[in-house]
Amino acid sequence: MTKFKQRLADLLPLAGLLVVFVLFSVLGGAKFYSSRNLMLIVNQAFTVMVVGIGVTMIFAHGGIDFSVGAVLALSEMFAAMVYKRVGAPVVLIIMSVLVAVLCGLITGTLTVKLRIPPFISSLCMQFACRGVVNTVLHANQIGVTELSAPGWGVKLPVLIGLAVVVFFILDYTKIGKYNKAIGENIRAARSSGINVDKYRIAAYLISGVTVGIAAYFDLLRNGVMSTNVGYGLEMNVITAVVLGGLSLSGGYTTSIRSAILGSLLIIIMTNGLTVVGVPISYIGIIQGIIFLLVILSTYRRDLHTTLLPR
Amino acid sequence: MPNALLSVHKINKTFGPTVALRDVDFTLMPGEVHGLVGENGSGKSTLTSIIAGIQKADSGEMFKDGKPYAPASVVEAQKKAVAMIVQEMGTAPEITVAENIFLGKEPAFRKNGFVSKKELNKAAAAALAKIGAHDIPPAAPTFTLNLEQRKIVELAKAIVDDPDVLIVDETTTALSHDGRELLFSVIEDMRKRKKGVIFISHDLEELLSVCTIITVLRDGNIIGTLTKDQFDEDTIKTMMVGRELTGHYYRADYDGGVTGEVVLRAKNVTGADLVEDVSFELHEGEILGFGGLAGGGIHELGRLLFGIDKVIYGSVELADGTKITDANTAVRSGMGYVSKNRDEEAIMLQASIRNNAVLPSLSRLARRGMIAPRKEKTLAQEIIDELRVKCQSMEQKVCFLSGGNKQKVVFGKWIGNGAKILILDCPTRGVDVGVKQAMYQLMYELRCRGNAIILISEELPELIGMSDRIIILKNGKISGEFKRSPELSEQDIIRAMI
Repeated sequence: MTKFKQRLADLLPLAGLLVVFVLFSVLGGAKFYSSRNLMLIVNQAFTVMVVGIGVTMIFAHGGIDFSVGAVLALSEMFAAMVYKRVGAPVVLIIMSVLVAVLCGLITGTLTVKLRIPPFISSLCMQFACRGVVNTVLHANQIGVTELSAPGWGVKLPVLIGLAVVVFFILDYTKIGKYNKAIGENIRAARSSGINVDKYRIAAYLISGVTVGIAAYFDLLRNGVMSTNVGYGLEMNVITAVVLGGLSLSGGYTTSIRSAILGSLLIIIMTNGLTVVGVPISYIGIIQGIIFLLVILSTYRRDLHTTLLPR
Repeated sequence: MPNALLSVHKINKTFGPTVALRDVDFTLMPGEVHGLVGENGSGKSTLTSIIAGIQKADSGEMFKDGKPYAPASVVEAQKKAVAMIVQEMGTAPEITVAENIFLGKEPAFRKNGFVSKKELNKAAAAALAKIGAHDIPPAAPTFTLNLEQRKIVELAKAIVDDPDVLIVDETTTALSHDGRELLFSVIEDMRKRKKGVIFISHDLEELLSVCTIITVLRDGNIIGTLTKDQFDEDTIKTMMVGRELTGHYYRADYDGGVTGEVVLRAKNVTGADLVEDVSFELHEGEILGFGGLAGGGIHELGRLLFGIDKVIYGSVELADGTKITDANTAVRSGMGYVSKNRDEEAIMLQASIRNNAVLPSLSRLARRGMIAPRKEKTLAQEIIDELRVKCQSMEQKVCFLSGGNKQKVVFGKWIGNGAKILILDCPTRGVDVGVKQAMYQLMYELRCRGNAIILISEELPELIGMSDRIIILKNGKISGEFKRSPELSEQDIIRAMI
């Protein structure tokens, strides 16, 4: 592929974002670009972005994580429960990050040490977390409405900060470079002396930190914790990073750009469809089709890479 | 061209910026065994893969039996009686031998709507018996076979429909003596029946004995075609490289007295398979060769010494007492390993030369886990310069390099990390003469600088030519040891091998 074509392919997610935005501005009119709706979009995209940025570390080594939505719920629940006992708001952030990192550690260890494929181990994690949340909460809710939700004056710096940190980790540290090398060829990475197990687990821990942070903000924004928190987040995150141009096999092309652009794209799309009056049930179907198309297009790109026979 | 079995006219093919074939004309006559030689990246495999329908030419025409021939796929080529055995593995591991041989042809064995396993196995047994491979059970799952047997299954598969043209691409590297004989008799049979064979090999001696005519390629151009009476090893080498190969191929000295300190001590090393109770000492400034038959355990030993596979009994210890238990420890202790399976195990094909070359050194370059891009680039450039890697830039993907240059990048990984102990498993396998010579020189320089090298090789001339000492493994155990000497002959070593 020539450099020009490569550039063009890199621009594709950004172009898609523009097209979708313009399309729904036209179709949805004032209802779409009203300030209230735009705030809704960025608030919804915030969670997907923060989680997506962290999960990118797992994607870098060719892993996948289906547990983030359930882990988010579990973190929120524990954070809210401990806060109700202790009463100091600071335990919210500490608990949510702690729980999410612990879950990441468990998923990572299951995957790496017991050699369970990551989609299986993370699905198990998803079921386990949902199970705990449903058992503890039943149909109850935990309210933390007395606390005010942080505005964008806090959220934006947090988002940018996280993006910068993970960008730096990916491109300028051993953790990032090793995870990308593992994604390219795990056997070559191992025989180059990389402690493959350790660095793959590290990716799950970093992802856990971002899930915890997302949980903290999500809890404060909703004000209550109920059993349906975080439903479908994992599919949104995976669709987002793939829409953003990430290769599911990982490797050196991994970048957080995919998480940021892809999150906006998927959220604008679902929001736009709702605004123009498409029933919720259809949106799921449309999302599924888009997911399939995107996977297909990245897959085909791999097929067309011509190689010298040797 | 009249009566040509297959002719190729003005074929061009490019991969991105690399020109693989330029206006190539090639003719295969009935009864010919046509050898193709050239350095890595000269276009041999590209040409044959176009003929076999694996990929398409950018321009040019092909004719088979005088009729236009443009296969869109391997299956279409097979229908037109052109079959190929590729260098890489061409069998599916999870299905049986018989199913592999008749892959895609199952409907022929249909009985009441089901494929009859019995008929399939019977036909496969007949196909295998025809080429003299009686010891391969047709009903066995293919992954239970060894590398050589799988190659023979591929051979059976390729000729099961009695093709007019058989392409054999670098197949003999995976075969032992018996396997080669089997292949050669198939080729001989085709020649007698006025069919055509295109034969690719890096082994010139083999080419000269098997082929009736040889075409030399260089940088995607046909350099010349030699008939049997013009066959001469030096002429061919010169045509391949485009310059006279001067100087000695191997090292010339015989002062191989091993005097250096012991840097690595293997004590009763035993692995999960093959390697049993192997003990030896490796010294500073020594090239220690390991040889043996396929299945003798030399490759497995290399993996055990570097910690990729677990030593189940015994130990591998360095001079400072460090025990090698995993590759991570090995690399941190200044060891390096060049794998026999380069593309699968030693290199990241889709990554750049820079990312590949600096990978083992990142730990050393990092300050508190962080790596300055400037340091990385400097190191990558040093490696490219020192090994003279032929590339456009350090950001070029490794998959666009030729085999020899890929191997240089693998060597560069370890030289860039200052490895003092190198384990080289078939370092010159599938590498052309030019790069081979450079590798030997590099190994010798490293030795003279006091590095220790373990050279694992299936090629006896290479072992005899380069090693200070040679240890022979037979069925996983040491069966002989030889000191460097001008009198040492292949026969002496072969006696210890079998």
